[in-house]
Formats: sequence, structure tokens, C-alpha cells
Amino acid sequence: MKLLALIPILFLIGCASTTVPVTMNFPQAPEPLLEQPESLEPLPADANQVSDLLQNSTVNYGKYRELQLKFEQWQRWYKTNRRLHEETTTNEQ
Amino acid sequence: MWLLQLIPSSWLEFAAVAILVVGVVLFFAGQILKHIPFFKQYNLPMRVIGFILLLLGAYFNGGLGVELEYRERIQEMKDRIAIMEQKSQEENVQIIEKIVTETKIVQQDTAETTYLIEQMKEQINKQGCELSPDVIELYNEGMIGRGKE
Repeated sequence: MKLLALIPILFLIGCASTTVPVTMNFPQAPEPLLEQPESLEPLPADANQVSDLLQNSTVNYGKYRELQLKFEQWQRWYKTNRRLHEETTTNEQ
Repeated sequence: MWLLQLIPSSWLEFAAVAILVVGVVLFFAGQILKHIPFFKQYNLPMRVIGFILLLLGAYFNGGLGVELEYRERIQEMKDRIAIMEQKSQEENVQIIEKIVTETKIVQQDTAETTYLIEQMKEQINKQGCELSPDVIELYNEGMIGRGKE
């Protein structure tokens, strides 16, 4: 009958032997944000007019603005996914 | 324990209780029936098997409570992850739309400005200021960087 004392012990051991097999995939970033950035265009050696310089600057400013837009969207993507990740895992017991 | 994930909860509950009940019945039956001549010869095996089943039943019942609680939490976590993935996907769609729309605007702006420069070319260059090769080189260096091709 003394061996019956083992029963609550085994009951408690059974309680302590379980793992939670849940994994979370890393979120996928939008395709346009993963593209290689365009290089700025240098001024051609034969461009000797001020208008050529203006043309070139305008095209390069345009490229900068496109890159700025993508950079801002990268930040937005990161902040949103970080917030979502925190919301998902914060209340985990 | 991961194999338990494959078995339905109701089956597990039934098996754990059944093992415990059979163990208790066998164990105490062995104790009670040991004085009856016919059952005397089965007394020891009954008590040994009953005791083993009793231990197994206690172990399974202990683990089962945790197993069921974990199943509930796993499901809850999976639901949350699914919601998160959906929201993340929706955000990606919005980001792509914004990039596509605003890139078009930027390209349109650039095209309009370069068109205007082209139209005003003579007026702009009227001052007679020509760019020397040194100026072009300096300008390109400022843009691309000195250490970069």
C-alpha cells in the first residue's frame, strides 16, 4: 500500500512533460521593396550646357524621390510587422 | 508526447480514465478476493497488473490535463498567427499600391520637368555659361562618390 504514494508523484510528472510545437514564419516583404536601387546617372562628358546639367539633375532627383518613397515604405512595413508580431506574442502565456 | 497530438482529445480522455479505473478495480479486487479460494491463485498477478495500470492511469491523467490545455493554447496561437499573416499581407498590398501610384507620379513629374527644360533650352543656355570638363567631373564625383566607379 506504501507504493500507492507513487501515484500522485507520477500524476505530477505527467503534468510536466509537454512542449508547444508552434512556429511563426518570418513575414514576406513586398516585391518592390526588394528590388535593387537604381544608380544615379552621371553627366555625359559631352554635355557642356547648363540645360544638360538641369536635365541630369532632374532625372536624378526623380530617382532619389522614388528611393525615398521605397525607404519610407520599408519603415512602414517594419513598424507594422513589428506591431503585429508584438500583438501576437505579448499575451502568450 | 508529440504522438499524442495525433490522437483526438475524447479518445485520450476515455483511455486515461479507463486505464485508471481498470487499475483501481484490479488492485482492490486482488486485495479483497485474496481470501476466496478460487481467486487466491490470481491474487498476486491481479494486484501487480492493477498497480501498474493505476500508476499508468495516474501518469496519463496528469499529462492529459496539460495536454488538453496546451492543445487549446496551440490552437489559439495558430489563430493569432493566421490573423497576423493576413494583416501583414493586407499591409503589403497597400504598400505595393502606394509605391506603384506614387512612383508613377514621380516619373510623370520628372518627365514634365525635363520636357520644360527641353522647351526652355535656348533660354537657359542664352547666358553663354558652358560647362568645362572639370565641372562635369566634379559634378559626377559629388554624385557618385570619389572612391566609386
